[in-house]
Amino acid sequence: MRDEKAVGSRSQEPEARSQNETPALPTGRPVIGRPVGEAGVSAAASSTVRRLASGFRRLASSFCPLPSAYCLLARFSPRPSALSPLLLLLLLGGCARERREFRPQGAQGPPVAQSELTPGAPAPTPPTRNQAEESAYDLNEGKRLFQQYNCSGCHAQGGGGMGPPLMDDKWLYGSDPANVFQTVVEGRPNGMPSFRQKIPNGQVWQLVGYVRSLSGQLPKDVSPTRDDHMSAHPSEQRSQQRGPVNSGPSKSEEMPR
Amino acid sequence: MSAAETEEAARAAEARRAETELARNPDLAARKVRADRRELDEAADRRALERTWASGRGLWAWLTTTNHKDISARYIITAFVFFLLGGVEAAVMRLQLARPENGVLGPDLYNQVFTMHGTTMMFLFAVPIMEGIGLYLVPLMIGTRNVAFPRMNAYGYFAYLFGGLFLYVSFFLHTGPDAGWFAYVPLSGPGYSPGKRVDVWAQMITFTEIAALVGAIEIVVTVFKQRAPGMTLNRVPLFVWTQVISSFMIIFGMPAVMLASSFLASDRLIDTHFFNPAEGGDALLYQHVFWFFGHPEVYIIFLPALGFVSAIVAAFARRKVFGYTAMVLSLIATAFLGFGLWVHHMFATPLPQLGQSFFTGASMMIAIPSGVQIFCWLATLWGGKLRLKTPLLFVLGFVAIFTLGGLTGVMLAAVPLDLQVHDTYFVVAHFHYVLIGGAVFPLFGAFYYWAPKFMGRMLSERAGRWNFWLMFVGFNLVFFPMHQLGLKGMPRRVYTYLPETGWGDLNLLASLGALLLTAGVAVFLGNYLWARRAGEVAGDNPWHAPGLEWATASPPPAYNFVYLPTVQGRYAVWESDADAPVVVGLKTDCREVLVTHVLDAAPGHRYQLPGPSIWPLLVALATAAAFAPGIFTPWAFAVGAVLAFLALFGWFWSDPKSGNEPGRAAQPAPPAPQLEPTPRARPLEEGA
Amino acid sequence: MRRARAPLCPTLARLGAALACVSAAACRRGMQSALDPAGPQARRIENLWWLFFYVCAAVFVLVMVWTLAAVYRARVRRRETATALDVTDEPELAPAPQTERALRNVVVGATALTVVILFVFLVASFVTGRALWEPADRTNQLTVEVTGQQWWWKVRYLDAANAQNVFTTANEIHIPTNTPVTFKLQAPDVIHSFWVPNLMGKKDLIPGQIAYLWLQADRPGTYRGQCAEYCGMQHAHMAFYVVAEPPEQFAAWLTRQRMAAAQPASASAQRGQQVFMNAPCVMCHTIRGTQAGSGIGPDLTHVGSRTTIAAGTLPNERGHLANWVADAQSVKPGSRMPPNSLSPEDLQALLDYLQSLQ
Repeated sequence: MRDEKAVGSRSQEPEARSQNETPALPTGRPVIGRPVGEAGVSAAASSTVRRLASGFRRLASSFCPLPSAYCLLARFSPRPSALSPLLLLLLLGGCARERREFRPQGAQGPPVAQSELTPGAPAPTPPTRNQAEESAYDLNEGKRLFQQYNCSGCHAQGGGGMGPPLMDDKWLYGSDPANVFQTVVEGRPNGMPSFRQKIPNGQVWQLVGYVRSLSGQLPKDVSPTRDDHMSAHPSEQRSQQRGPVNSGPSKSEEMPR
Repeated sequence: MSAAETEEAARAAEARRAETELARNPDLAARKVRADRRELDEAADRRALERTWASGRGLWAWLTTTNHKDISARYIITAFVFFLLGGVEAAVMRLQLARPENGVLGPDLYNQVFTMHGTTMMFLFAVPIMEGIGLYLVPLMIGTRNVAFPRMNAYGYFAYLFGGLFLYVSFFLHTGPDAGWFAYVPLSGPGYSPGKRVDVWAQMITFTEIAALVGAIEIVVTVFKQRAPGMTLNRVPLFVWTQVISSFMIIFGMPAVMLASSFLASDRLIDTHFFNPAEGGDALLYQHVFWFFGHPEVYIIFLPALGFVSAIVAAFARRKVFGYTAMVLSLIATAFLGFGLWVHHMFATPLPQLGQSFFTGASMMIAIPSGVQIFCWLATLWGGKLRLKTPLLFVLGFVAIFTLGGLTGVMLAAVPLDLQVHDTYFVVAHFHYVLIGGAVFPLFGAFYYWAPKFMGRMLSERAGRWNFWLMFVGFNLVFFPMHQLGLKGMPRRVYTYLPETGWGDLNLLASLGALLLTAGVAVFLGNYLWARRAGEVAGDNPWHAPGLEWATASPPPAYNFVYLPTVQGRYAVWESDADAPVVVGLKTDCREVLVTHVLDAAPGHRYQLPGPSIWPLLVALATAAAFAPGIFTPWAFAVGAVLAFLALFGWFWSDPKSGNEPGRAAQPAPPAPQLEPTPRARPLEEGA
Repeated sequence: MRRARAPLCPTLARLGAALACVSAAACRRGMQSALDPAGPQARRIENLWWLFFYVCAAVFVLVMVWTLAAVYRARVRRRETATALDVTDEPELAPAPQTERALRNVVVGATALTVVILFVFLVASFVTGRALWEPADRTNQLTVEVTGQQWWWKVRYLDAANAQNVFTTANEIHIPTNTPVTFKLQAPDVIHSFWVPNLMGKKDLIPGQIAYLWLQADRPGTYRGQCAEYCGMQHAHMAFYVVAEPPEQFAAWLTRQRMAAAQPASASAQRGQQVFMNAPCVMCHTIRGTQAGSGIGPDLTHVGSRTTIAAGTLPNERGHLANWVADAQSVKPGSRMPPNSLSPEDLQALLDYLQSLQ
């Protein structure tokens, strides 16, 4: 998905990293309560495929972001592009995890509007890519915001309280990052408020990533570790992967197909 | 008591003393039998030794060698490469700080770069290069053929190399640690340093730890058990003393940082709570454990440099160093006091004042042994006949810079002053004066002094002077203004500063000085590369220096000495006469060394050292397999432990005596070494 | 030979000149300088500094003179022996006993002098240290709670008598002159260090511990302080100001700060308030007297009255404020202030509102 040419061209302006694949929401597609998989078997299979795909994506994404030495060389070398092939080899190891993006391009974009109306039959939704889920820094920010924005007030530390638990395998409104994003931005019935315009999109994506890490949906090496508070549960990096089972709120709210 | 009686008693005592001395001192006894060196077939012995001690050529030999000089050369070169990398990082930082609100580096990268600089210089450059030089020279200086545990020595180097590579590969993958070389929790803890950056730091510590401890044990055992006959403990060269003492400091200090980094790693990886105040941990605990190592670390780096200075001063002042006993006692006092003043790094923390006062006292007290040593060297210079060559120039530069650094150190010991200048550029200036002045200048002096021994050729004297003056002026330009910056309130570890603070001009000056300093190091590199090919051929002892290392060829053969020398005084070469006895009777068809007694270096028995072996490399690889992936999963340690067990199994199983060399297995196994003590002067009697 | 010796002298001159520069008056001015004391504690430390400085400078000069004299003497000696005997390289293993005795006396004397100097230093240090922690006047009840966090300072003025009087501000601490003020220091995240060089040395803020410090300013003025313990990404931009003002002026400031925020007067400011309440601002900031009450970011109740924003990073002017609100990450990468996309009209209204919060 990223060829060498793309990397080479990036090297001329190492900082202007395009936030391609900003996890644009699959607008116009019903995501609420969409049952996953036709049968249990295919659900498991698709989960495996998804994990594999995410592994490849992570590998590919490791080409990208401002590795220190690369950045230094690009800054001081008269012809940085000449160094690219060599550095590429070095960069294969994976560094999306260490990315720290402070001015993400997508963060200031218009809030994602969603409509549940769609012409024709709903097409299958490809899983959304949330770049914040690849960066340990973003996830850690998500964890901080989860506390500071008082998500814990209703969801406790993920264990649930007034709001549903986030550590288990049940996803009322879907486990895809896009679903969670929508849940935060739009709110949901029975108490989940809408944070539209209240939380900048970049931070929502960080929160989305963190919420998904609570039930072990993310690789352990990016998931947050314990913080310096009382520990209510094992840290996110040590939580077992649960599900996901996209249960839907109830039969009656399920979308007609 | 009358005068005559007193005289009589004194005479009797003198006679008794001479008698005991003769009985106790093997070389005096040996002198009576006077080995005649001409009767020995030196050429044949040399050939046999060449065959036995040869490391071989090619990649396999490179990987398996256990020769202390090969391994030390690697240590020195690797550490110097890290020095250059750390220097580049420093230069980039100076570029960033040259102007206020400069944009060369962003905060994320700057924090990684300054962490890498500190970590590289402390763990990958300073300690290894001091140990590397020690491991090269100590066996030569004490007159033996190899270090005590040659395979462990090889293992230490590989562990160090893997640790360094691990850190730098991570840095190139944008995973460079960014919490400072000290990695204070909670900033370095799980909550505030997401990702694997700090884990890389913590594991790298473990690697270099292992290497440092291994090297320290090598040096201590080698010096205590393998000194040439006659080199009693009070004849041990000052250089060797510094190596032994700093090795002891490593043995006591390094485990503390290993503890700190392991606690940190387990807090980060498996959710322990050593440093989490909410669960009963303590963030300050980390600082205590870290600085219990961190302060002795400074002396670990600095003591060997004092050894360089003593060696250079003696050689170029053409006289013995003034106050040998005072020097040795000062070194030992420094080592003891060095463990008792770590809290002066923590004066700003909420610790009780009474407790802090003790550490003020201890911190000031350590100025006394340092002062004694400086005074002794100055006395030596005063009483000598100076040859003002490059090594001595570096020593004079050392005296100037280190004295200044020591005096600012006394200032830092006072709690009130420390409260103002702690964590400012004043401290940056102070410890660069102490570490560059106290360790790097002597190190460059040592390079000039021992280069003829290392490579058989002299470095250019002319380039050496350029090197010295560029470094000296550049160094002072970089770091002197920092004192002032600190007093004017500039904190350390800031990636930029605002124009209205008024720090711009001094910072610009410092950055310009960095150019000179860089030029100085570049001149050294050029000089070295030039001298390797075209330098004047040195001969055995170009400086007419006193150490035993000059009593053999340059560069030394793999077996160091054809016949192990005996020693008649502290300045072995100066004090030995042409027909001094040598040790004979050691086997030449296997790697045999002479083991002597700790205090009086009387010959004890012969001992066979192992030859080349691949196992150290494999054990190091197993170590790497445990620690490097250990930042991702604790299971790596289980896997690594199994691998290490297997590799160690091979290590202990393989017959060290066979040398593992192809073709050697066919030869009859050499007879077992004599384990019972050889009669005192036995090896010396052969020629009688 | 001559060529080799010559460069030592200019070096000494240069070092001397550099040393002299430290004592130059120019170095003593500064709003963040340890050598420009504005309070009794900093003054005591400064006095101690000059004691150490002059004694150490004298010691340094002595050692350098000794070194150069030794080099000179030894080289002269070498030249003499060279002409006389031509065996200069012969090492001296048994130097003349009277020289050795003299040298021993000098070394012992120098060591003894070192011990005496260190003892003087030690006593001076203890005496100064004791004075730093005991305020002369304990009558004043003013206690300021300072919470250092990544990467700004939360400041609460405590009032044991009347809880109504407690208020919060940020990055700007006002104190009355000639009155000791107690500071209660804490940090919720990582270690920071509270340091106002013109007034006093630093104190670390360790999570899980509370530290106390008192400060006193003798003359009115604005003194810059800065976090002195590396605390992460924006450690460099974590400054604050201490404004020392005469007691009556301070009392007026205190009264003003205790009040809730003024209601927006102009239409634009009213719109700005609405923008504030509907934008991410409200998630993190408090404006007393409105529904904004979050404690994540600095309290903005009287933000218009402060001289700087972003923890002493930018002057509090409209342009900088706009930049900070819209794109804080370009000023302070990694800080907690997210970028905000507001329409130009909304932004202008918001600025009007924020500036009206005097």
